[in-house]
Amino acid sequence: MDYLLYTGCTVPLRAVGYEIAAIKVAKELGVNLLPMEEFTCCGYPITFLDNDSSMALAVLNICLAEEKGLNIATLCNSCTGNLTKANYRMKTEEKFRNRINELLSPTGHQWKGTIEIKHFARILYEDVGEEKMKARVTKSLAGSNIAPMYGCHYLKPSKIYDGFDHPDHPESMETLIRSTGAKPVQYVEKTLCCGGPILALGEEMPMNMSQRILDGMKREKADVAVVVCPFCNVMMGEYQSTIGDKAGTEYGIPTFYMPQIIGLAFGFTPKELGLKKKQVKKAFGDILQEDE
Amino acid sequence: MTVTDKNNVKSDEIITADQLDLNFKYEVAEEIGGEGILQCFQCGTCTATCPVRKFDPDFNVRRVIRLTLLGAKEKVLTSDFVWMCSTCYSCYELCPQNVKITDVMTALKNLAVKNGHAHPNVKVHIPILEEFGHLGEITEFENTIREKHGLHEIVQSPDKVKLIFEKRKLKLFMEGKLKDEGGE
Repeated sequence: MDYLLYTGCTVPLRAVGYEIAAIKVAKELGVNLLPMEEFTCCGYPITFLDNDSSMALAVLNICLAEEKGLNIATLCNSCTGNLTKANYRMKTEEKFRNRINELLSPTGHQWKGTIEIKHFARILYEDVGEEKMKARVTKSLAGSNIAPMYGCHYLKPSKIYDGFDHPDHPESMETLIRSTGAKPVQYVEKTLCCGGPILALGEEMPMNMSQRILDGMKREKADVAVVVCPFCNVMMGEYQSTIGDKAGTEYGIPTFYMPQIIGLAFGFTPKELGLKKKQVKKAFGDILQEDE
Repeated sequence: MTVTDKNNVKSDEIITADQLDLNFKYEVAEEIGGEGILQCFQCGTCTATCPVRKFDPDFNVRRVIRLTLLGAKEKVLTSDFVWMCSTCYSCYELCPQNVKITDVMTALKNLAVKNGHAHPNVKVHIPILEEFGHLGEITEFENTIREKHGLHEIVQSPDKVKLIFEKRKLKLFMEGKLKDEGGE
């Protein structure tokens, strides 16, 4: 199974460990995430300013993949959302298709409608499957309680995602967590918005929104949080102690990207997954035996 | 005491018909994804499910849609509210009238930009994309880390991004100097 890996803007700048781990884990499961130098921004960051330009950037990247004849695998929820939405509209709305192809005309690219976009977690859930992943586990994470955080654009709007998972009661992330041997933590806040997209307008609102999610994880006694979007990680991980200070509590919930916890269960070292040894020890110290 | 809420409506204000732009809702409907606005029957499911509203009761999606349908163009396009939609799609999923509210909110933001009311914090993205093709510069520092982990080098090229922006006359949009030509 070959995919072009679409890393977008945030992953190479703030979450390269996510990219490293995804490529490693994919390879173990017979999925090749191939590099593609020509990809640009997906357009999501300028949706608020001009949706036409935003959609045109998304379709530009879809065209680049079409010309290689390969489907796109994504890591960031916002990239997934913008690319999938653009592809969906190009397929279903003629007026939109003409409008965007016209904007693309100076670049020499035109949309053909020959490829699909899938989030890497969805590829693991749908195309690889739980059984194949379980069979590859050499270091079970049994004993760890891991809270899945879905983010928004991984699931919604659900009509563009062929209903691969339920928008309000999803279970694809729980399935992936279970395959590592760990126990998925159930909490009602798991599909709430982290507020990341409005961080540029001020910290207070996104911090409140993320606190609600962290409170849910803590209430249900999560040891670790797992995310599938670099924006969720900014809020759950990078902002966690600031949110904790504001809330007068210490959450102490280390945050990882999905391929990183799967990679740990596959026996990769922290370094091979773009992680620090200390980070992994803090989260899985009693569970993962050191054998280096 | 008169209080102005985040929808720019004063607590003791009476909006009269001559202040309204009855064409506004059709302008919104012409935007990509804006067409659903004409289907709203004001049930308020959007407001009930909004995670932003949870922390600021002033933010009321149903009310923004109502003001839009009434034609209170200036109030809607200059309000803080449109920018606070985090595009989580919670309301979009639950709307019984398929208004596609998240897309309507985006259409309102785009119209605010075209009318010269772009939020300054969001504007900065355009020049960055024009310079790098991404929302930030990949320097030698990032590429050295990438090389160490066996990842491909990223060479940024904004050329095609710039061609699209030029075709769209995006600069004029951002200055509020150009109305949408529909691209057709």
